[in-house]
Amino acid sequence: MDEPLTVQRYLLQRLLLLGPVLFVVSALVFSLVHLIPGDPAQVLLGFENTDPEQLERLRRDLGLDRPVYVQYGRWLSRVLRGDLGTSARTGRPVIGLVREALPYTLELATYALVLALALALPLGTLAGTTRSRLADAAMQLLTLLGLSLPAFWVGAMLILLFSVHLRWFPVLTFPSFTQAPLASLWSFFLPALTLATSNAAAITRMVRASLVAVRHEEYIKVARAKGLREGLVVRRHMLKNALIPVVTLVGIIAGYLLGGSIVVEQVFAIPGVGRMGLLAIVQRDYPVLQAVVLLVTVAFVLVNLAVDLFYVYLDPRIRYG
Amino acid sequence: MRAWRVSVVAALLFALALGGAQAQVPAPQRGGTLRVGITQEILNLDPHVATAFSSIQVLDLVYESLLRLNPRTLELEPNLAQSWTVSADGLEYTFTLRRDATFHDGSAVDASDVKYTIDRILDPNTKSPQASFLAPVKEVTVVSPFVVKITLKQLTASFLSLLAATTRGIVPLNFEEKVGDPKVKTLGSGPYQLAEFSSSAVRLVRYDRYWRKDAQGTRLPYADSVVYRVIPDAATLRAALRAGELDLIIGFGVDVTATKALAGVPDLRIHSVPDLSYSLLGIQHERPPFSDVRVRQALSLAVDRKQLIDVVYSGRGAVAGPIPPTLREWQPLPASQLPNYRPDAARSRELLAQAGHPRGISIKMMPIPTVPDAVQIAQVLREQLARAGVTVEIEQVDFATFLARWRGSQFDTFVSLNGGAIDPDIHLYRHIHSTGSTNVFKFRDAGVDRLLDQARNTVDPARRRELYAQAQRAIAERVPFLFLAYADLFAVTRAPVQGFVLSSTRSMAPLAETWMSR
Repeated sequence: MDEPLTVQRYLLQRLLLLGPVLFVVSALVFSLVHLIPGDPAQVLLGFENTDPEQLERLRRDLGLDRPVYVQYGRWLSRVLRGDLGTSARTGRPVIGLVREALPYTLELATYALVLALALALPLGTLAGTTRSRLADAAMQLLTLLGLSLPAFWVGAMLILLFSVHLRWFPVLTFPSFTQAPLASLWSFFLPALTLATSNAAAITRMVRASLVAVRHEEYIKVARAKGLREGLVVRRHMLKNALIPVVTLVGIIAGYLLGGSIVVEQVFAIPGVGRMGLLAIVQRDYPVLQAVVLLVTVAFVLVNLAVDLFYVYLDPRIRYG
Repeated sequence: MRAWRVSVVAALLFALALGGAQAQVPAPQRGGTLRVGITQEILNLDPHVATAFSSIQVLDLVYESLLRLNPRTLELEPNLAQSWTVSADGLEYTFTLRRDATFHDGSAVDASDVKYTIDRILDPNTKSPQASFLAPVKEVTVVSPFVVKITLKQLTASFLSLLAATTRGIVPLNFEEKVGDPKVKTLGSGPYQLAEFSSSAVRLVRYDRYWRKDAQGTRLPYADSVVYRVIPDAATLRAALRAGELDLIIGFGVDVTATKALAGVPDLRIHSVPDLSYSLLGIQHERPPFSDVRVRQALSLAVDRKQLIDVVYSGRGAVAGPIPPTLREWQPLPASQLPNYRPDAARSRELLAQAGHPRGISIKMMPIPTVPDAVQIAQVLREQLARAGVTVEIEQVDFATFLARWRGSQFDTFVSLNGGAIDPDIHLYRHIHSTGSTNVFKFRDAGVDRLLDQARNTVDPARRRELYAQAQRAIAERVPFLFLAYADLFAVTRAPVQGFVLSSTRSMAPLAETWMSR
């Protein structure tokens, strides 16, 4: 008897859920990193001396002498007031570090996703609709390669070929998209392509599989019987229905990409969120790590919300509830 | 006094040699940007707090100490202090500062700045890891605007060497108020000042009023700016150099493997110099069976250091004992004269049996994750030690875990790299003396302690050399840990880069005299 939920109410409900999700994830990560040995005070002192007093002073300054739940409580109350704290490792405000790193990751992630879709949709459609077994097998082999070649290898090979030998792309310059859009797209091309390769392969396979599944549905036969041109049948009837699992996959991929790709950022020396997170773990920089975790969680939740909304467009029969 | 005269003579000879050499090479050109590629992130820029090697590589050009080390000869030279005298009892050092040195805000470097600097390092609130080095200082007095006196608590033969370090660089009075946040901003007196800073890139620009001049009387530095770029992946670092986007690569990742990969590439120059740092196998003495000296001797005898250098460093390194072979002045004993250095697996097994381990022992070995060669060293050691009946289990941990366990002495053995120093006291005391600030090995040996203390308090160089000759033998005999190898250090430059000197100390200060030919 309940009225079906409207999109607005659904949206509100999901956004309200974001709070508890963030709380659980951040508490979990906070306690996990405190379980492993080592802390930022030790990292800061490095190998210069082992004076226990100096370590204790530094730990007190950083608030590391308090029990973990107290540390978490303090962190949480600061975050609720909009203060992400200070990086233990660099002594700089975390918000500034995030502001430095985020644009790189945003551009890289968006770019990689666009490239992946630009490759995967036509290739997957071709593989899913072709009647040539050879073309299908070739596509399967290609995507298998794309999935299995490691990103660090693909990245290194692309740099060697296109940057060192052909000198088409710069290795180290990553101008900001807002200041120099074309130059930026040019220099981000190789890392974005590296990041796109395996994702494109995964999406291609999903598109193909979904198309194969709907190929023999009744409504496709009807569409053909109506005398529609094959292109129109594929576009309007097959793809639109086949895309639902694909969109789910793309949503998950987008979530991962926004968390920063550690490998690609490392190979291409891009100071993005992934690298920042990696260093924060290695050097036990708790405030930075927590900020990265928050960022990734928010991105993941929001992207998946967007994906849910996109379902309605693809298939109006889908209802929320 | 005597050491000072020696170094002035050396400096003069060096200047003559340099003048002679420059007759053949083109005159330095001013201008341009030097782009330096390093693999580790640049962290804190506070010279007294920074510990990351990459931070210090940047600070070498921004801050200056009272004395400096000649990058080629490793001799002490006047720097911000133009001369000094030492009182008869060896406890009072009086420094006369040069009058033309200024901080980047234009103010003169004077005695009150020197006093402030040393007080700042020693102030517990600064939490400077350098404080332990300056522990011998009793007080610093301003004698006159350009004369400062440092009084020591006890005789410290290495005191002048201790002052020649970027991490003990002079900062202006009330530094923290003037600079704002010294972790991200700088105010030094060096050839370059900070223009831009992020953890992945630093840009330095020339300080036009820098005091030092070259042999022709031209003001240094030559290049307009120096840019440091952090490229974590060693292969990408090499690619960027080959693509002409970097002029110089240096640091971890620029090793013998990397230079081999670049060997055939035209227009690149490979620089190498013996390192003062050494790889070591650390041993925890309070854990049985290592408390028994025979077991430690057995470990030393089971290791074939020459083979290790051949495998890990392609032969580019030196087998050596407690004193680096580069420091000829201190007469490092060759391996042939050091006890427990000639590989002898049979004798090793014999010693283990005598110590009550006729079936050998099993030990754990933890390689440091930030030194690329450490795992390979551990693997070679595992093979070599197996011959003597020692079974090695390699434990791979992440950096912070390594640090925590290193600091807490929670290990059987570990493989790491120890930074070297030009003075044997700084080189050995902190690791080996029972009260040493980094004696995580828990090594306690009254005989070795006595020798190191005597050498520390003996100012006469001849007598000190004698004491260190004894100390070297005693250390090799008692085996606080295994000195494994002093590997070569590498850097690669592009052809237009001229005048770069790769120093055994890893200092980047020579970049002030490096220039780009066009």
